[in-house]
Amino acid sequence: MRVGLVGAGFMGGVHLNAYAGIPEVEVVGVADARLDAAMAGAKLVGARPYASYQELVAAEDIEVVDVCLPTAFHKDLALRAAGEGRHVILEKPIARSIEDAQEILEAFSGDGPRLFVGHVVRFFPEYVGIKEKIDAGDLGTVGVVRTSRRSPFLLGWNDWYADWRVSGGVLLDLVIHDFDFLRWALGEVERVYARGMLGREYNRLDYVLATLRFESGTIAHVEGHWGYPGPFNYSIEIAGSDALITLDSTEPASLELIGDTASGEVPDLASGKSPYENELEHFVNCIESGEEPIVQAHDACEALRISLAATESVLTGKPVTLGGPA
Amino acid sequence: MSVRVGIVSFAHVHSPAYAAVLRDLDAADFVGITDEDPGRGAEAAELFGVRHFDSAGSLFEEVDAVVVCSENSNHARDVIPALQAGVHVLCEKPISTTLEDARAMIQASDTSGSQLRTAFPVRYLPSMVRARELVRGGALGRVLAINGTNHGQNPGGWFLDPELAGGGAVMDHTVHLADVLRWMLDVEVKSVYAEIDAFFGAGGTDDAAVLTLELEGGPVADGAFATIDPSWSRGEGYPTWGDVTLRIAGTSGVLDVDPFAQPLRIFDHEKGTPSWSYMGEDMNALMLADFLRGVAEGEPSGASGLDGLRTLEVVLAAYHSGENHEPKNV
Repeated sequence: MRVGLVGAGFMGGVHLNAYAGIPEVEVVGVADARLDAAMAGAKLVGARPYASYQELVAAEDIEVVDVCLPTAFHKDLALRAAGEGRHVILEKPIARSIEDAQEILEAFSGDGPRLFVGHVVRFFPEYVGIKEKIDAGDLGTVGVVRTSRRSPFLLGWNDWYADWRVSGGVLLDLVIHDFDFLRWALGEVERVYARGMLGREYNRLDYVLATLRFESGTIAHVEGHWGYPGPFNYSIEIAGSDALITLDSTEPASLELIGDTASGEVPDLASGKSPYENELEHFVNCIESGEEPIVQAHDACEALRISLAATESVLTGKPVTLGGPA
Repeated sequence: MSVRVGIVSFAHVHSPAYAAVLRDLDAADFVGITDEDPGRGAEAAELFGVRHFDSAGSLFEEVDAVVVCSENSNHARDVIPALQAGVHVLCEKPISTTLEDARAMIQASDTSGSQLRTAFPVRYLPSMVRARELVRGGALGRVLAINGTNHGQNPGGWFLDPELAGGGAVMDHTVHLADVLRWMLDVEVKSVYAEIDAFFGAGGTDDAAVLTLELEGGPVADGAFATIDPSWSRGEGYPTWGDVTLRIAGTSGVLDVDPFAQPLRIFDHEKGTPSWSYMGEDMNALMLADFLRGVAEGEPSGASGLDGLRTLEVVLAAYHSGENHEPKNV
């Protein structure tokens, strides 16, 4: 399958490294307005670099466009690719607004090209294991869930992460991972209350504490930190009536490289493949087989809805009730 | 000079630990125990080798100070007569279950001149003391937010009876961290939002919650926010009783505080369930020694009755918010 990747920044590099391990995929071109970034990315997978999507599709015959652009630019490219009949893999979050997300969903609603959104946490073996144990009833009634995700502040193109209008801050870009996982494992969210830095101060440091109440009754507490002064880390704890499960990425791993705390690097896992490799291989397989993916585009829209509700709560100081899935 | 001290009621689960400390502290002359349940009182007195008093009044005649460990809603009943009899009181937390009771207790202390202190031992943990120094010394810059937990196991017994306990996990555990936040950051709690429920077998009372607090005042954390998880979400399979943790995020650093982080992990071949063994300071001993010092010197430190009242206000606001799904001003 011939893939073209657009946006050779931090996430673009992660995707390219993952593609290198997927034999069914040939990344034929990498586009980035910064040609040096496109060249560096292309070199990872033996592709050709391009300075724009336009140049990429003019020169290469690609079936799949992998979009790793800043969030606010997802919609335009996704719509364009859909119009050209190409499948699209979008890095999360799907879009900067619900309106944009719905427009994207609409563009892929027919029998033609398909849309996949990279909510990679669903491809971490340990998170999959947690969901399986919840589904099997091993925890009894799930009462209180606590998650934490703490990341150094990333320096992206034009410092776009620091521009809230483009990135949506820690709620849209980081803890949307936890919102998606929690909704996958626990069902729909009824109510959100969150406090964060928006409207207080927002200077390359975003921090949020959100409380979710699920329709099932479960209470979840979500911590997100952008600008954490240590290495990236995450944890989750699920307290049920019958059992408690904890997972903490700072605890000993099966492989640890001491001395490398590169910002944003995903800690090592026990499985042979990276979660990104699992995710992208799954998407490619879904395109080939016509199967529904583990995370559907609709799920990405609902995760965004939770992030935006939490954002509204931060700004208003009030809890926000979600209207249920659209 | 040692302080003559007694214990009023063995209802609370902390009372045996307090009694063991008082028996061993040089600063304490542990005189005796009284209990509205005379059988329980006599048994405890025998266990700790002290006298059993069949009335609180008779105990008050022979001591300088008492520790009150009755059920939460009975604190005022036991504390006020002690203060009026000229006996200094360390009252188990929460100070009471109603603001009226707490105010009456504070009033009785003011009128009698007898000291009323609230039992908040977490303040005495060395890592908490050091955290306070670091935060106040500017190690984190300005404090933006605090993510706190005080988890435990469902304690059972009267703790599940709303009449005696005044509530469940929210009443039992919130006050520790609410007190630590006020003490460490020099703030007051402005408002509380809470999601409250029961999942862990507490039956007629709450055992699961997440509280969000808006903080105000002080030089380091004015305008910060905090969450407290007071849930009884630990069970028999957990290797220790629970936890007290704080993650403090500031403009120039993060401080993770976990005073009971357990260095020894014990895998007992007979028991089958791993356990963690705490090697740190005994916070109860530090608190009781400070209480007795305050009595001896006439200069109390530690948490006052007013500190107890302020934390109760947070709890009551949380219950109000939990019912109404709106932030509640304190």
